[in-house]
Amino acid sequence: MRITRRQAIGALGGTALLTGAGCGRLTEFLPRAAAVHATPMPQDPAPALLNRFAFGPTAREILDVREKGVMEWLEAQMAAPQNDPPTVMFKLRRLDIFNLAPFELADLPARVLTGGRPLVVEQLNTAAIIRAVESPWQLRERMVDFWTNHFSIYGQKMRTFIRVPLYERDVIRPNVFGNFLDLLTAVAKSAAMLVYLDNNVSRRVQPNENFARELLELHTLGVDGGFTQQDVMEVARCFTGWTEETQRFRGQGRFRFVPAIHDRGAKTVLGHRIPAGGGIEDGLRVLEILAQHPNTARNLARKFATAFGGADDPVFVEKLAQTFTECGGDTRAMLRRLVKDGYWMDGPRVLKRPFDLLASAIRALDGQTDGQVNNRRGVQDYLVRMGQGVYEWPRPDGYPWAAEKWARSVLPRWHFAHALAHNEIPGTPIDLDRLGEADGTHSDRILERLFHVSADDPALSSVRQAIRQADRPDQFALALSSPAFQWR
Amino acid sequence: MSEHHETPHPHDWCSCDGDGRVDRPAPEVPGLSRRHLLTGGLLGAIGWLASGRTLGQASFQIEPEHDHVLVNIFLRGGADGLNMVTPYGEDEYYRARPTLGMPAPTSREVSAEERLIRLDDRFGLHPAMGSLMPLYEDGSLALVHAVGSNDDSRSHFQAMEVMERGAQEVEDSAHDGWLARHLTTTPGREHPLRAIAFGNILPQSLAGATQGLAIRSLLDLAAPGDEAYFAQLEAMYGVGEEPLQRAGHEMLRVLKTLRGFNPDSVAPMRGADYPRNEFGQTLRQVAFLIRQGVGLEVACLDLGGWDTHVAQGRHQGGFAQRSRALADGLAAFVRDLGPDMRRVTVLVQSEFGRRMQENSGRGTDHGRGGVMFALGAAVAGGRVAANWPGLSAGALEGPGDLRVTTDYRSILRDVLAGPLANPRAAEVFPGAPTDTLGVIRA
Repeated sequence: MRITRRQAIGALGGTALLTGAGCGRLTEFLPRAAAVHATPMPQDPAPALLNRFAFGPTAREILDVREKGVMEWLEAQMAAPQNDPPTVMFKLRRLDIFNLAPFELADLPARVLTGGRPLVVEQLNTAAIIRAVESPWQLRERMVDFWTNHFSIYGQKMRTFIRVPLYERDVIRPNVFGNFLDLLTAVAKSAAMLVYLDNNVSRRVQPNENFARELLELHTLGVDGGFTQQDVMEVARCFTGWTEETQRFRGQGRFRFVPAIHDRGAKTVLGHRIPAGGGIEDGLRVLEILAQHPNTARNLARKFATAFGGADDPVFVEKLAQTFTECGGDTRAMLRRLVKDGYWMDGPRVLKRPFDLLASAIRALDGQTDGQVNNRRGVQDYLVRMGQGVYEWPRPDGYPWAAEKWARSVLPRWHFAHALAHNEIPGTPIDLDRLGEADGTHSDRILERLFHVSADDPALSSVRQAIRQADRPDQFALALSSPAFQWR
Repeated sequence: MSEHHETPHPHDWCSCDGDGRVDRPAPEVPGLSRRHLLTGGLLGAIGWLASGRTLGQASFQIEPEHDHVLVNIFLRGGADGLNMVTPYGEDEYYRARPTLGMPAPTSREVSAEERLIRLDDRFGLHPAMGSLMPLYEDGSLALVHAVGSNDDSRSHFQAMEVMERGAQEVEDSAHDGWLARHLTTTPGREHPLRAIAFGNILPQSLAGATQGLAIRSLLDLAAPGDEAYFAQLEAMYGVGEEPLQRAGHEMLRVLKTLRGFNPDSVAPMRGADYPRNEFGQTLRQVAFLIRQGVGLEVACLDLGGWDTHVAQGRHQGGFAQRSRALADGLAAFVRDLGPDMRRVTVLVQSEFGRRMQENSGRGTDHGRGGVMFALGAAVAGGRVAANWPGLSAGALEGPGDLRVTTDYRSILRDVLAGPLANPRAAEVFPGAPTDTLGVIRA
C-alpha cells in the first residue's frame, strides 16, 4: 500500500488533533495576555542569542533567556518534544499537506499554467512561516531552516513538491539535532531527494550522476572538497538502484533499493576500495566515508559558522571542524560549541535573509500570523516578493547567504515593514496600542523593543533621528525598514 | 505604494484545455483610471510642467560600462509562425490552410491590407505587422524561422519551462532561468533594478536570480508612505558602504527619479504612438526606464493571446489583432527610443509554433518550429534567417509540424555574448550548438 493518509496525518500527532479540532475555535476567542516589556540591560546576551539561534527576540523570550541562562536555554531548546505545541498545531491542522498522502497531494490544484505556485508549495510556506513566528521551539525551526537549505530541494521541479511534506516531517525534523551521518542517510534514502536529483532513474546501464555530484559537492565535501570527476562517476555507480517505489501496492512513495539495476562491480571512491558483489551496502559505505571525511567537517563547519557565527574566519572554522570530527558530526555538539564560544555575541553581523526579516519583525511586534497568501497582500505574498519562499530556490545549493545577493529585496522589505506596522497584512494582525501599554509610547521605547539596546546607542542614531517626528505606525515601519534591523 | 484595482490576471494566452475557446480581447491597461489621474497623476503632471521639461526627457545618466539592455518578449500560447512570416511559395501551405492561408504578396484577388507583405522571394509578413517593415528594410530586424527547442511535448507549460530554463529538453538538469544564469555569471554589475519583469511574478527565466524585481507597472516602483516617509528612508540609507546600504541608497535614488511618474504624463519622444493596450503601455514604460539610465539590463514582458485553436482569422480576427499589437508596440518603442536604440536588443520568442494543417474550428493546434524576432543595432537584419526545411510531407515533424532546424539557444547565447558582453555566455547554455544563423553581429 502506498503511504496512507493515516500515516500522513500522523504529522501533527493525529489523536490530539482530532479531539482538539472540535473546541479549536475557542482559542480564537480567548483574549491574549497583555504584552510584556523587556528593558534593555547592558551585556545582555539574550537578544543576540535569540537573533542567531531563534528567529529574533520577543520580549517574553528575552526574559526567559535571562532567567535560565544561555546554556540552559540551549539545552531546553534541544530537548524540544517532537510535536508542535497545540496552538501551532491548531493553525496547521487544516493544511492538506498534513492531511493527505503524497499521491493525493498530486491532485491538488497545480496552478502552473499561470506560472503560479502549486498549492502544496504555498502550504509548505504557510507552515514554515507560522512555525518560525510562533513556535516556542525556535532553535528547532532554525535548524529546519538550516538543513532544508543545506539539503535544498526545489519543489517545482517535476512536481517534486508532493514528496516534500513527508521529507520535512520524516527526514529533516527528527534529525535536526542528531548525527550528521543519520541525517545524510535519511536524505539519501528520501524519495524527495532521489527524485529531485534524478537518482530514481539511475541504473547500472545508464547511471545518472546528478545525485552523486551534489552529494559530494554540496551535501558533504564541498566545491573544493578534493573529489574528481572519476569519483563522481564511481559514487553514481554505488547509488544505482536507490530509488522510489512506484508500484501502488508495494509502498508507492517509499524508498526502495532495486538490486536488479544496481551496479555490483568493484568501485574506488576517494581512494577507498569498495569490493564487488555489494548491494545497498555500497551506497551506505560511501555515506560513511563522506561523513567521516575531514573536508566534510570543514564544509559543514563553514556553513554553521556563516549561519550562526557571522563569518567563516578560518581559525574559528577549523575549531568547529574539529568539534564536528571529534563528536562524529553531532549537531548538538556543534551547537553547544558555537554557543559556548561566544562568537555570536561580538562577532560580525549576519544579514537577515527575507525569511528572517519577516519572522523577526512579526515577533518583535508580538504579532501572530496565519502565514497565508491573500490576494498579494498576505504575509506570504511579501515573502515571495522578497524572494525567499521555502523550497522555491531552483538550484540544489540552497539560498545564498551573502548580503550582496539580497540587494534586490530592499524595496519589497520596505513595503513589508510599512504594511506590517500599519496593520495592513490580513491574517497578521498587529496591535500597536497593546505594545504601547507595555512599553510606553515614546519613540525611544520602540527602539528598545526592536533592538534591545538603549535608544541612545550610537548604532541607532540615524534610526532614532528618522522616527522622531513620524506618527506611531510610521515610527515602527521606519524602524523595521532601517539598515540596523536588516542584520542580526 | 499606489493601490491597483485588483483584477485577477487571466492567463489570456491559453485558450485551450484540450478543447478550444475563443480568444478574449486584449485587456485594458490597469491603473489608467480616473482615480489615478486625480491622485498621483495630476501632481506628477504639474511637477513636470513646472520644471519645464517632460519626464520623458529627464535623463540621469550614470554611464555604466555595460549599458546595453535586453528586452525579452515572450509570446505566450504558441504564436503561429506560419501565418506571421508565411512561406507563400509553398503549395502545401495553401493546401493545408484553405481558410487560413494568407494571400501571397502578388495576389490580385484581394486588397493590399489582406495580403502578405513581401519580405523576399520566399516569405511574406502578415499585413497587420506592416509597421515593422521600416525596421526590416533598414536592417535592424531579423525574422528567424523554424526555430525552437527539443521539447516535443507540445504542452504550453512544459515547452515554456524548457525555454525559460534555457534548456534543450525537460530532463536537463538546470532548473534556474537562463537570464538568472546570465546575471549570475556577470557579477560586478550591481544595480537594484538590473532586471525587471513586468507581471505578477518573476518569470522562470529569472528564477534563481538574486537581482530581479517583478512589477505590474512602474507605479509599483515606489516607496511606501508619503514624502516625509521617503525623506526618512533617505536619511537612514544615506550613508554607509555595506551592500544593503548601497542597494537601499541606489534604490531610493531611482525611486526619486520615478516619483510622480504616471503613464500618462510621460510623453513618448519623436511622436511615437504606442497602442492603447497593456503591451504598448508596458513598452512605453520600458523605454522610459531605459532612458533614465538606472542600470537596467534586462526587461521581461509577456504578450498573450496566441493560442489560436479556434477562429484564428486571417488579416482580421484575434491573431491579426495580436500581431498588430506586437508590431505597432515595437515600432513605437523603436521610434520613442531613437538613438538610444543603439544600446537595446529586443528578442521576441514563443514556446512553439503551430500545426500547418488548419483544424475544423478554423484555427490551428500546437506545433513545433516557430519564429523569433531579433531587433536592434546588434542585429544583422533585413532578412528571414532560417535553415528552411520546407513543408513537404517528408520534411514535417510529428503530426505535421514545421521542423525545428535552429536551436533557439544559439540565438539567445549570441545576444548574451555579443551586445550583453557576457564572456561566459556558453556556460549559460551548456550543450548549445555553436553554429548560428549569424543573426547577431559578431
